[in-house]
Amino acid sequence: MPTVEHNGKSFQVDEDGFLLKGMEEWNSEWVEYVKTSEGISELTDEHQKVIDALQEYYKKNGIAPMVRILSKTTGFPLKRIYELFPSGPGKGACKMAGLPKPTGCV
Amino acid sequence: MSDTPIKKLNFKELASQLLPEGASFDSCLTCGLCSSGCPASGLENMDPRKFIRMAMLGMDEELSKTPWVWMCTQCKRCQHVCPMDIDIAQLVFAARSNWPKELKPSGIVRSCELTRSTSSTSAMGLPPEDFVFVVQDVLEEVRELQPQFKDMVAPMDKKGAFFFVNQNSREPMSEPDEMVPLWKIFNLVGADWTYSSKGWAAENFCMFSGDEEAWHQVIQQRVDAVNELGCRVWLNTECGHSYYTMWNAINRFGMEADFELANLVTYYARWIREGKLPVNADWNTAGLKFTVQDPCQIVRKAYGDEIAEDMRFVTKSLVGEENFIDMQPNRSANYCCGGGGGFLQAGMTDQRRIYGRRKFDQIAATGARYVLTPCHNCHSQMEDIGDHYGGGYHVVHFWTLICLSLGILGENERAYLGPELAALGL
Repeated sequence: MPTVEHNGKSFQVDEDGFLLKGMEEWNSEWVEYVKTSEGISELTDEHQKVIDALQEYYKKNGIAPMVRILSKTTGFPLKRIYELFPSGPGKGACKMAGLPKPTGCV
Repeated sequence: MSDTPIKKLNFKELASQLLPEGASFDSCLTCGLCSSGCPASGLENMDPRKFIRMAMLGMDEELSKTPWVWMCTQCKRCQHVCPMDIDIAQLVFAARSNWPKELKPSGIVRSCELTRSTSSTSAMGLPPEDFVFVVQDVLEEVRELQPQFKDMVAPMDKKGAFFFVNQNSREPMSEPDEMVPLWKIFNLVGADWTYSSKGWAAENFCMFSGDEEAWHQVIQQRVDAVNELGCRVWLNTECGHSYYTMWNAINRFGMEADFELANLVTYYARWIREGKLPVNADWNTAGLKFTVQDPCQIVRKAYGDEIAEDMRFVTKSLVGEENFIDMQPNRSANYCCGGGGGFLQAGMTDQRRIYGRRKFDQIAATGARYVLTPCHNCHSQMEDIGDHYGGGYHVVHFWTLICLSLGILGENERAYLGPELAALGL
């Protein structure tokens, strides 16, 4: 499996660049790495709120939440979530939160 | 990496079982039609003709282990042009089945596992209650924000409805507003339809993973769900492999299905012909050019050219005959885009994009600004290769354009339209 390096830290990732061991290996360096690779200029409390919501839902349900549920939990409309994570909630936000790549026809 | 070995299959024996009666591999002309028309030719130094020749030479170890079987999308174009009608895709399916689960591409395996994790049969693992919630939530919003649809319905578990409507999980999961144009169309034509809280999902990555037993179980759940509601027609909406996986499995596994299978494109064409969907191209004053992508799973692998003609009739009705440009080749001879067979979930991005180059060139040659396709894997792949190779086109669902033409496409239902159409008719 490929690995990525960031600020001296090494992370094992899957074929699509998602954290191989998921939240087990997730830490602030990983967040920094994804921030850079996703082209996000500054991490805000709003980013953190989305990450927290994704992780909490995933721990409970074993899947990422539907965007409607994510919107309701965070209070952010879908448009705002795309502004925060330009590659979308499934790819950018889930990657940053240490969730696996979305499955299905994507 | 797992230490589990990949068992050696006897490909010559398997291939011999697939021959039409009276045929023989000794008669193979090695004409190469299969390989010249295969976008996977050259990947992993393999192509369909080489695969068959290696099988005849007994090179079973190499064939059992080649990752090429995950790059062949099983689109069956090789069989379509083969003078001997050799079903190479079946050999690829057998090879995929033979791989230990832990060595198969994890995205495909996980998509299959999630499909089996709830009675939704959703490859994204969406539980029934989430699907019911999102349908109701979106419906309430549309009724409130778009007063002309204040009475629109999106029935759930309605017994005896004519249509049992399936839905690709991508919509409820990540782009729920894309369901709305479909509901508007049903509303407009007065269709008697229902979603089901069980077996509603369209996708089936268990088939792609080569797990025949899991494929069977998933389809059994869907067949049971339709039978239970007593619907007349299981209507596959704009999802490519959904139709093939259902139709093929019902025949392959001898299931009892008390209903017909149909594709939404067939009904789009019928409703336009009957005047129930009074679409026209008056909106296309800029003369925007359109092409269509024939999904292999619906056209070449299932209905044949009949549905390809319906796609063209619908498209020309929507955009104007003079604004439609076909790809070459097309219909049953069309090239797979490279999004099929689970390739999008196989984690082989570089190879998938090399495969997709042929599709990109086909699209570019039409000069079209928009590609219409009733398949989510086609949709994702063509968007990806468009971004990667620098195409200036957009990929849209038919339902978007139908509602645009009818002047009923809402503000939130335009995610896939380009800037020139983003506000048209609002």
